[in-house]
Amino acid sequence: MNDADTKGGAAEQATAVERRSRELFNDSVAGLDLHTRSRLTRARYAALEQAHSRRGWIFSTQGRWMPAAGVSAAALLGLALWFGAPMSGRVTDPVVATETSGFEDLEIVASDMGASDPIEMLQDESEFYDWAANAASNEPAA
Amino acid sequence: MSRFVTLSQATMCWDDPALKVKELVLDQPRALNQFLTEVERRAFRMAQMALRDADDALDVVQDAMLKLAKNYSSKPSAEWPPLFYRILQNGIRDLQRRRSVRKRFMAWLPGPKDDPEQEADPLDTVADGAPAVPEQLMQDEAIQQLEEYLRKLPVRQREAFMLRNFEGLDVADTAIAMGCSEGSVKTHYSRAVHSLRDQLGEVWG
Repeated sequence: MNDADTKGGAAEQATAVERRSRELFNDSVAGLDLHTRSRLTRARYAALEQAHSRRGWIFSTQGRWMPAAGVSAAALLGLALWFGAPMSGRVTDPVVATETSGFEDLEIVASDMGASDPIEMLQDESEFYDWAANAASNEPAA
Repeated sequence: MSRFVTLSQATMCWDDPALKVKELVLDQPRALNQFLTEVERRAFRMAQMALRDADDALDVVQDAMLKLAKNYSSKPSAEWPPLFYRILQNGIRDLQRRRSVRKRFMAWLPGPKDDPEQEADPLDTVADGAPAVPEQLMQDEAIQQLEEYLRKLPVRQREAFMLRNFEGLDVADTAIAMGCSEGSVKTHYSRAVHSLRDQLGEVWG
């Protein structure tokens, strides 16, 4: 037997294996039980219905964009908090800022001294300040 | 697509482009249904041979049908077979990978290693009393041998053999389905055939 015969025999045997295996596969497909066929049919209908129904499309679209929408909403909220909240309390004019700061400081000192209103405190002690001013001017120089 | 449009429809379509689009859109679900009907059982058997589990095979096939219908139904019907089998093969590979990972993880855990659900039911080994048909028994034995040797093949060789020999895809479509070059398909297929010939040639001879 020469090489050509050997190769020819191997090719023939390979073809036989291909043919035989194909026949067996086709037979096994044809012999599928009814239960499996039924499940496959249901699976196909479910796939087609989900793919082509309008409702399915809307839900799938919403589902697909839901993470992106969530991220966008979070980003917008973050930007609003970052730029919005400080701007409401921020004083851009330095003069107003100083005056506001001084008035707040006065309120804090007055509250520490027990007076409810700093202007009222100044009125109550006016006699004392007059006496102190006179005493200072009448005092003989040392 | 054209095989689903009748001659009268085609004549009308020639006159009215809007009607042509409408007819094609209406035919698309029907064509997809027909395609899936043709391939679902064969796809199931292929998945079952690779996964050795009917439920897993059904899940993979259903998932492939759903993905094809959702993502590629608008493609020309001639493109569906390689796309469908590519989705299917990816699903099979994913499931096999997950099984492998789960198996490695389970090996670290104490206790019984075998999944009780995978154990053979003793009742399955009891004879049912029905007379066995010799031809049917031989057929069952032959398909079991084929499945056994197919599972021994490397994954890519098995895929090439199933797609080319069982599904009849040409080299180009098989390459699309496998996500590799046509040269690789030829190599994988040739090696698979030679390996099966060496294993099964004498058994079936």
